[in-house]
Amino acid sequence: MIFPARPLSLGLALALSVSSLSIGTASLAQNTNKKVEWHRCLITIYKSKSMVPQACEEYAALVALDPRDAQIRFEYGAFLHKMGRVKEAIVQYRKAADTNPLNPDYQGAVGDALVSLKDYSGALAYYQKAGPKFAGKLSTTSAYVNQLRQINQYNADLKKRQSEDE
Amino acid sequence: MVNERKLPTFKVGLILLSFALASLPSAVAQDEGPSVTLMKYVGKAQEAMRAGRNQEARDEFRKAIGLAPKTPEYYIGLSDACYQMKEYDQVAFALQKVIELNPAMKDECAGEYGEALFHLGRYDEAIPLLKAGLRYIDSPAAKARRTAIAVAPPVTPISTAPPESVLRASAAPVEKKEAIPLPTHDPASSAGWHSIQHKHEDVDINKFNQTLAGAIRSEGIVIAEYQGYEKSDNINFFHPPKAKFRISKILKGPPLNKDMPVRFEFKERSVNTPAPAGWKFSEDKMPAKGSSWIIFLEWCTPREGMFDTYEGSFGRLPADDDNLNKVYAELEKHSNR
Repeated sequence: MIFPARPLSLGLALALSVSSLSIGTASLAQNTNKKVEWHRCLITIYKSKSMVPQACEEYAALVALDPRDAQIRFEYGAFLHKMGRVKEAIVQYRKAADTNPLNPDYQGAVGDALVSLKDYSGALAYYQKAGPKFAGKLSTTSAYVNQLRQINQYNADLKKRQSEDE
Repeated sequence: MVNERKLPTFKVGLILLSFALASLPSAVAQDEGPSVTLMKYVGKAQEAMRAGRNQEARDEFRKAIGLAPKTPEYYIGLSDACYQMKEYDQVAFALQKVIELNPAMKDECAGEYGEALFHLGRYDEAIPLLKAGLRYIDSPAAKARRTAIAVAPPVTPISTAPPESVLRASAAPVEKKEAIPLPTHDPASSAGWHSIQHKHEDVDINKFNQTLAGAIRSEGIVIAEYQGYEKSDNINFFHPPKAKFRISKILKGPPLNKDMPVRFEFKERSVNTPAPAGWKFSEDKMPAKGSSWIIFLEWCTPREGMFDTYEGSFGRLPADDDNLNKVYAELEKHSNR
């Protein structure tokens, strides 16, 4: 015997769609949490085994999961910085600092990375944004920048005098 | 740095369990079939999980596994409960069993299994599993599975005791079990209560063999060397000492710390015997130091800092060739190949 297909009542359909929607959202968030956790496990393993490219891949995957997560970008930047890939580190640090401008560590990290590239004037701007936590580095760097300016000025004057004498 | 996983609002294990309960007859088809007792354990476990009483849930799942050791869903429940308590060795054990029992679930369990192995420091094994887990989680198969779970009907656990007639009908026939004799009935003998030479003579291996199948179902079986016991003024027949064993080989079960404290019981638990007249604890009631034993651990979790052996003194056996042969033979018989 074949029963005719019964049309789904509007109320039941609505209830089903609402419940599956809420379950879908919950499981999506749960999946993301799991993925973050597993990528982090892999990062720890690769770091412990000094497998740098693989660790970078995992960081990149983690960043792709949530590009607005400043902390992950900061950690990725710190790892790249430690591995000597300063320019790539600065990209990540800057994105972290732009996402969360009130975090002094992110601002200071950009400053530190710029210092290691000898871009002292650029670093000063970030140290200033970082606030009191990086006050020591700010004063040291600004003093150094002043000294550099004086040296440059002295060299320029010297050159000018030499050309005048000739 | 590994972030702590936030408690999921909708536990996947629990859902899987609902699924398992809904299809219980097929799930336990390989075992003895669904019994009221089994349903009670699973219902309790499910309720405990919902209420966040993970320890209770773990214990109930273990009881369910004891009755239906070939149902992968109960191991999933066990792993979920243990995961919340960060008992990663148990998580690894449970998920390994799931994969053994149902290789089709390998991908589904890979991520969690890899994570557990990561926490256990087994990095090389963890890498491929974590990668497989990450591949699976976004696959169409995982999505289909989630959809199936979402539309699965909720299962109401059994909250009230079933009628006595049902219990009687579902209960296994009562087996008359003869008491296993204690290693010696002469505590005053110079050879001592549990001395290794006496043990060889007095343990009736044939009688032991009658329930060796039961002992083999213990969560853990290890070969361990006796190293001494923790001295205390308060040791008596029913308050046994903490014996120190050092594991030399794990025959079954999860990885354990090599230094294993064992509740060194002097009685066989299922036999309701009073303490022998004139029984007094002395060192000669303990095994010879350095002697090797097969130890059946009913559960691989210590209770009050000591592991319980299967059925008390019954779960310790000298690790001689004869006994090892019997145990290995039983293990082979119970393997899932």
